[in-house]
Amino acid sequence: MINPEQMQDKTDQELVALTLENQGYFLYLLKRYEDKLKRYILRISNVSGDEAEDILQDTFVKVYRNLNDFDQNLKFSSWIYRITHNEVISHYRRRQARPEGYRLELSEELAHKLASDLDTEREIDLGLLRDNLEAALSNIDEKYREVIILKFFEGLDYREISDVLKKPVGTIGTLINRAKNKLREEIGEKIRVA
Amino acid sequence: MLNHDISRDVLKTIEEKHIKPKPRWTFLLKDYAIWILGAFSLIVGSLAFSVIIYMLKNNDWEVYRHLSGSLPGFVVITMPYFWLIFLAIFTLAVHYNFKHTKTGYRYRLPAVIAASMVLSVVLGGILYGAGVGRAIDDVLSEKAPGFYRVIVNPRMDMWARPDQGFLLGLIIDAEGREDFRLLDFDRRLWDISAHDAKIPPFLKIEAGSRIKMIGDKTGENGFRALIIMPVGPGRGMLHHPGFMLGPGCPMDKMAPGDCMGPGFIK
Repeated sequence: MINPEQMQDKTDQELVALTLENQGYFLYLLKRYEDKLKRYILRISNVSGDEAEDILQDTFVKVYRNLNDFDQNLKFSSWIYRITHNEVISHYRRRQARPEGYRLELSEELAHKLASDLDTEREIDLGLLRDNLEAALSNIDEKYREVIILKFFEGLDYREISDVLKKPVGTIGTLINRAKNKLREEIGEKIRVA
Repeated sequence: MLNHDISRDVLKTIEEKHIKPKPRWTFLLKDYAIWILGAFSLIVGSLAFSVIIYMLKNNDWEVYRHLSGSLPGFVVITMPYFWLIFLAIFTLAVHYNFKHTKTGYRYRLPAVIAASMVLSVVLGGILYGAGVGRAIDDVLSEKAPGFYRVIVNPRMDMWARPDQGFLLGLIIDAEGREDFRLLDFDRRLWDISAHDAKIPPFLKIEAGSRIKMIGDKTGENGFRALIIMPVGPGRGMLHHPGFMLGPGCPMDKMAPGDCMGPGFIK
């Protein structure tokens, strides 16, 4: 019998090893990521809640099928984010469409964090800043938006983002810097217009 | 929205459809295949580099003024483009395979290309030192002379211009180092006079020697040699059975009976 309380102390890697022996353990791994990945899917796509659930289910089945391919040198979170990211891309490929119209809702804390990183916080009122940031995030290029989402919304570090997007860490750094510049430009433009 | 338990649904699906994780060996097989293909590409690239060294080292630098108006022009004419393209293709193949290894994406393209080039240069240098570059050139020029002459080493034709003073071929018989008969690329026989020629002391002037010359055409079949050198890259062409069949015999004829000429293979 699996004791749910004991599962809390297990690392992701340990749960992967246990799942390979008994699929019942997989539930505890999924529980850890269910909400996070649902939010992630909704952030990087414009799908409905039902579609997001479908994508997430497909992602989890794919994770299970490929558990033996999980590289212990990676963080499990990077690996599962990567599979989710790829599954969203596959979803759009199947529909022969590209994601448009994002729902990036910034919490007050996130808006502060992002604004402070962009060094724009002092200049404008938080409400206006939050609105402008949300609009700016929807306007910038997809490649910039995805790194911003992974860094600021999902809280991943450069190495983890590199492992999710399968790009060198240096390239991720460059993308994040460019993304911030684009955001600054967009926010500046919007404030001037306002 | 999102109000049901996805994790439990997924587990139920897995149980009902009897979904199992793919066996570890399938992933290992794919990883090994990628690494083996990468190593293979690196070795092929290194072999190409060893031929490049061989061809560049034996590029007739000492007589470039006779062959081309200027050194840059000579370099452009004589670069071993076929092998350089070959090396580039396999360097890219190394990069492609490396990128598809589990952590290959962590490295930038210039770093992977540079590392691949350095490895090809080092390994190619070792292979050249072991005589592999020369052996590849010999085998290719002997087994596929037409392809070799047109694609691999078109500069061979620079030495098939007797009217302009360039001649390359196989010595058929020799009376000392000054007078001998030579069969050229196009299976024409020449009477060579080498009384005023500079000949490297190590070069044997005897039947079977493969040489190239700079000099003057003195008649229908006469040539006065001023500089004589051994044939480097492409010398295998002069060993091809079709070539040895004798004057006028096309290169694709492989046996004495195929040719009407006198023939050199008995």
